[in-house]
Amino acid sequence: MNKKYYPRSILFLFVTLLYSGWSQASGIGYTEDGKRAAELKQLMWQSGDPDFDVTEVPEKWANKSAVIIAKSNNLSYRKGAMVSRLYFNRAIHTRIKLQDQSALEEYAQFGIPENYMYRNTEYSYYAGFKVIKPSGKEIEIPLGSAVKEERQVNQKGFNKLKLAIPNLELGDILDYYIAEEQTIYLNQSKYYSFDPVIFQLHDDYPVIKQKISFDVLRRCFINLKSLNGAPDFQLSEDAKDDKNHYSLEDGNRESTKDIRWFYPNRALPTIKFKVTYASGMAATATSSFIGEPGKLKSEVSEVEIKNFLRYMIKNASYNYSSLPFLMRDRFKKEDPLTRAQQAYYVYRCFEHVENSEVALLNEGNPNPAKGSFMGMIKISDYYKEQKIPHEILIAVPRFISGIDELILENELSYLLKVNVGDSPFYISRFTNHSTIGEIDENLQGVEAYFLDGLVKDKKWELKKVEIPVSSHEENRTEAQYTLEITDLNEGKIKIAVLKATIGANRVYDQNVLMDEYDYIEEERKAYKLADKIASMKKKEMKKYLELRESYKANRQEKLYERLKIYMENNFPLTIEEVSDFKIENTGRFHDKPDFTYACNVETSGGIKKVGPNYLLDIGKFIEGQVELQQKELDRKYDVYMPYARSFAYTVELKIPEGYKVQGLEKLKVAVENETGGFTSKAQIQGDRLVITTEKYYSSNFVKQEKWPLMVEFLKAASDFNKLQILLKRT
Amino acid sequence: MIRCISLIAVMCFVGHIPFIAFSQKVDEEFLAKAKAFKEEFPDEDIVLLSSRSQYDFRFSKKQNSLEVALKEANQYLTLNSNVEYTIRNYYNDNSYIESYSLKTARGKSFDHDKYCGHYRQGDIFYSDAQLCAYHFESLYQGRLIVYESGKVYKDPKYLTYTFFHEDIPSQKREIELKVPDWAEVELVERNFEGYEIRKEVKKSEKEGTTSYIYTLENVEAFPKEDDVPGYLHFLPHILILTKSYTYGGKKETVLASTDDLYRWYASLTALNQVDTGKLKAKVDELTQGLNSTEEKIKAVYYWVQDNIQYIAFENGLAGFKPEDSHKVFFKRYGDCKGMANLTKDMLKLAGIDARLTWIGTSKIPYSYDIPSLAVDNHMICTVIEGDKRYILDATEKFNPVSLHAERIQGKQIMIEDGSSYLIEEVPQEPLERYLCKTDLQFELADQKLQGKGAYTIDGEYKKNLLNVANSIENEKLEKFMKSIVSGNGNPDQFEVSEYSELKREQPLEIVYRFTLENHVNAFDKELYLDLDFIEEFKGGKVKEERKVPLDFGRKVFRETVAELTIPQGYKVNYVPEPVSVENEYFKFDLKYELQSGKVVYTKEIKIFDKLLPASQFNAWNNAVKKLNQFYNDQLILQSHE
Repeated sequence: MNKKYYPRSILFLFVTLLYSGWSQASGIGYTEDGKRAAELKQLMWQSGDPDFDVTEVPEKWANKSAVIIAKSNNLSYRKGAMVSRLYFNRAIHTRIKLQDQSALEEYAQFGIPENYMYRNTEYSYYAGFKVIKPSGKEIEIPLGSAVKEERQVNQKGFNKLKLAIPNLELGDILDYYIAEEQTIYLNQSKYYSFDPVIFQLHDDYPVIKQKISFDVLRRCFINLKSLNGAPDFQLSEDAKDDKNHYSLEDGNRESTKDIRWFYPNRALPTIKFKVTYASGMAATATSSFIGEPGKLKSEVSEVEIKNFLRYMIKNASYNYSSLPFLMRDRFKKEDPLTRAQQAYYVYRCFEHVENSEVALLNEGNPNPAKGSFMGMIKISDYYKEQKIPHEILIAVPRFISGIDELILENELSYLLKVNVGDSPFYISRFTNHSTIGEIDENLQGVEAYFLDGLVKDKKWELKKVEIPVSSHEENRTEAQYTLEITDLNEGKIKIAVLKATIGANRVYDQNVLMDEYDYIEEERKAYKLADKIASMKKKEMKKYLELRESYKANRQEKLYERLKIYMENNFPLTIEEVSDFKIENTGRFHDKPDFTYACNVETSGGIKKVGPNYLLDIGKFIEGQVELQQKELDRKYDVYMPYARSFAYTVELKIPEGYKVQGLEKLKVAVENETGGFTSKAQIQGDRLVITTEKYYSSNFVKQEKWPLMVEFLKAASDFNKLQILLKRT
Repeated sequence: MIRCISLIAVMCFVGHIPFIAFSQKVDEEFLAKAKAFKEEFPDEDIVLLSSRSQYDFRFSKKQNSLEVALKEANQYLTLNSNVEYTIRNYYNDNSYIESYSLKTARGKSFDHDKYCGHYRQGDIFYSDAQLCAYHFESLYQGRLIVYESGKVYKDPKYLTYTFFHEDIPSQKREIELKVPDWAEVELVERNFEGYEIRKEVKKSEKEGTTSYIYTLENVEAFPKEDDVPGYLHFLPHILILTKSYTYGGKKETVLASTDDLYRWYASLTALNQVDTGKLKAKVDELTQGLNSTEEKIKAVYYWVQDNIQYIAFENGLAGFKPEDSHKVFFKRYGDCKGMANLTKDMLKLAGIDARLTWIGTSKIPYSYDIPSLAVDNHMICTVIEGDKRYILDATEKFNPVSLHAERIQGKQIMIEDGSSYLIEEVPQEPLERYLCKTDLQFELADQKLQGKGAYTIDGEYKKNLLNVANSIENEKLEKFMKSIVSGNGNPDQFEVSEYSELKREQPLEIVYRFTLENHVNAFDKELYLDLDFIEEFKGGKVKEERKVPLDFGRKVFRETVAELTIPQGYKVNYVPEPVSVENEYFKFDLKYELQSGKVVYTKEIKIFDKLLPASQFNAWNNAVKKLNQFYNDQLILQSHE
């Protein structure tokens, strides 16, 4: 049993609850430390900050649900003198005007955990609430009116206090603060990295004024970056207290929420930072992006990246790698290109696939998306041994920021570029089904550092390169849907499905429609993978054999449950039944990259009887399409999509005897531009109507000003979805 | 909502702890049973081989009163491998868990996780309702897990009924109630018809007790369907009416009659203080210049509706005793009892005879001839003016004084009347009060249907809409209005020209224009179209396997009249066949007619009762089928050219 992890989960839960709620009114305060509570109250409510005295909101926001008049985030990082303790305090003070019932209800109730201790950290909570009436009268809410909700998990208490704000009415201002204070007992440790913090300067409600400030002990290390036009922090030193104070002021931010294809960290003013405590020796011994103590660090140099990578590789080298042995046993004599390619698949087989059956039987995740670092290092080591030319690339995922905005170690992702044969290939993804040549979509198109993987680390030279972006042809779905009307009057249509997906388009399908028993044999055959269960000790083997039998007994039923849901998500029709599912190709190798399956789907709701004729919702058989709402047509931000992609459908309808098809001309559509396109053709071939459609998104990124072009083809596709043909009695 | 999410999250967390109990072993006999059950219950992961609840009425010397000890013994059988399940054991201030155990078939302790604490109960902000949840995972199919627990009800009046059904199917369900001769406990059997429930009565002269043993075999799980009325309406259960007991020569009454029930309620409300200070000033402000009683009632009733948020604290006696009115007034929040009490005190300050009133909403099928706390679940306020009654439920935001909310119609009410009480009934509202009417004018232009509409909404639906409109963000109100008239969540083809003020005493009127894309199909010289973009109850088919009644939530009266001006150069080639179905539960009457250059579409839909019994499902599904055929059918216009 994995009980030791419960409290961490609980902690995560509560902290998430608390933090996520800070912008949406959750959390009350509670403490047994009256003195500290009084200090905080004075600090928050008697700071003299005029922004927190404001009672009016700008006319332009009069119709908003609520307006944040002022918000301050105060963070403090300290170390106790002579004791091995760190202190992290965070207080958020918010003054918000509630302008409609929804905001009133949102801010009427608060909840926060009681103080508690988890592992080496004590958590304490403080809060205060006051209501300011339109008359200016202030009413402080006594925390004594909070009620305690008791919770125990395996005898360990995680209580919560709940407060309903009394006397709260429309037009009132709620002025409240919530503070979390942590005391971290370091024991012998001389190094501690506080959790990174990311601030978005936009909120769900418009913000008139906001401040972010933090005090850092001058011996602490600070990594900080303001992005996308966020203002810079100002420094003021406090030599007396041996600390630096950084602060930022901002304001006049509109509310943002619910935006399609949007990376807020790339589009909105954002601040990311992390504080690290390290003794002088620990700072030198650990290779990280920390700079000089007490000095704000906003850039990471190439030297630091090299040092960090060197440190990481050195640490990874302590892990034994069986790859060279496995390769010698299996692909000793093959040419370098084959060895370069197969090294990846052998690694995938023995590091991922081998463990997946047991994970599946234990109801764990049989195909977890593991980090790329260890795979990259182990394969690079093998290439080094074999003198296979390759490059190591280091990048920051595109949803975080560019490589030049790198500030934290954990932002980095890694990949390999292998330079054997006529065309180089990349290694980037490590799952049960990933192949060589695939590039993580989060790294496509970003600028990366690269270095020669065969060169010794002392001679490393970092250079910049742009990681290729896959084309829409490389992430493609091709489906053949053969329709047979099985009952005209009941509107039933059977679809014989033959669907192939490649690239990133196949990942979801593989994970939903395929399990270990669909591909384990091909792995065993190709890589001499033994049956792990067969090699277990007797007692354990018996257990897993029983589990395997039990799993297989229900396997078909579960698959069809998933398949039905999958079809219901795809087709805007009623799915009556799915049957005859068969995987034609698993899509797990670069030379056969398509995941292809066939099945039959019985649908209803696609035919309407009109007098002697029938209207058929033919447009629905190219699956559901993106439906833009009116408010989305005018877009203020650039469009960040996961990857370029395309979808080609062939819909073939057997025309029932005694009927002819009318309405073909509407099925011929062609809208194409630089952002993508939707085209369709239709023709009668004998007793069949054959429709082919193609929809594609040219790129993973579209500038805001090009958005209207995207709207054109998206609308063409969604209009097609609604098209009907007439089956007219002849 | 934060509270709810957090609790659910805790439960989810408890529900997803991966662990492996290596010591688990499976008996071949249970495995065979599991396989057989799997055939019978293909959707279930686990069933109860047996479930036994034994209620033992006994005297507690510690409390010096009657208490009830409940012993539960359940045998769970896993039907799949890797089964996770959580047993829930509920308690509150009036009960406590004495003991529990989870064991294997061989009597060894079975590994599990335990969560104990408060849980979210409906929309109640805080209550004393707590549970212990025992979460276990079994790797194997055919695993037997034996659960036993002991719980004590400290006060038997809080033990009101017990169901045979549980959240998973049960092969054998046994409920035993052991009553000593010195206690008067009446057991009322409800909804037993259609179930083969065996009842055995065993007297023990030695113990001086009578045991009532009920057994039901092959019990299905609680229904999982949506739109189900309260279980008490249709599932078999035993009402436990503990009336009195005589112990040590002393007779104590628990709840022997409706008088006792009222006496207890009245003893709680008698504790309420009235601080008239600020209350009076507000009442004077609200009623200034108003002469009639009804005007004053409206002023106060509507003020409470609009200004008091529903936030319920129901811990301990607060579950039954209203909060003092001045406290509710200051806090601007309260539960139903607090709001009823505030309404009552404010009206009394206005010189009106207002009374606290207890009621069981439509979830509860009982009337006040049953002396039990299970009879009611709600408090309102009644104004008595001669023979006239104003029944005021301040939790029903935007409810006009003249309309009774669906959930209380036809229900008995217990109105305070000094040391006595009045039992009366909330009138049923006539269907005409529910009328929602749409007038539509269609035109055909460029093969698009466009036009204007006016939607007048009244009754329960209007009240619900106003409530939502009031609670959504200001900026979303326009879209909400468009959603109402368009009948869907993506109403971009509609423009609302105007809508009436959100007032409870007048119908909501929305005037709008629309251009319907993709609503006309042109084929050769013909145009195919219909004049209905809402198509109520189109997806209303009840699943054939459904056995439990369907709760529509409210009665429905829907009328639509739509006119299409036949465009120049076109004639009507075909109109759909009309559909007309009517019985005592519903009516559908839809037709197209040709009238001097126009096609006129009329639709009348009536749902006479919010509950549709299972016996009506066939008729209902046949009606829905006809309705769908009509909706699917289209007008055909043909060009003269």
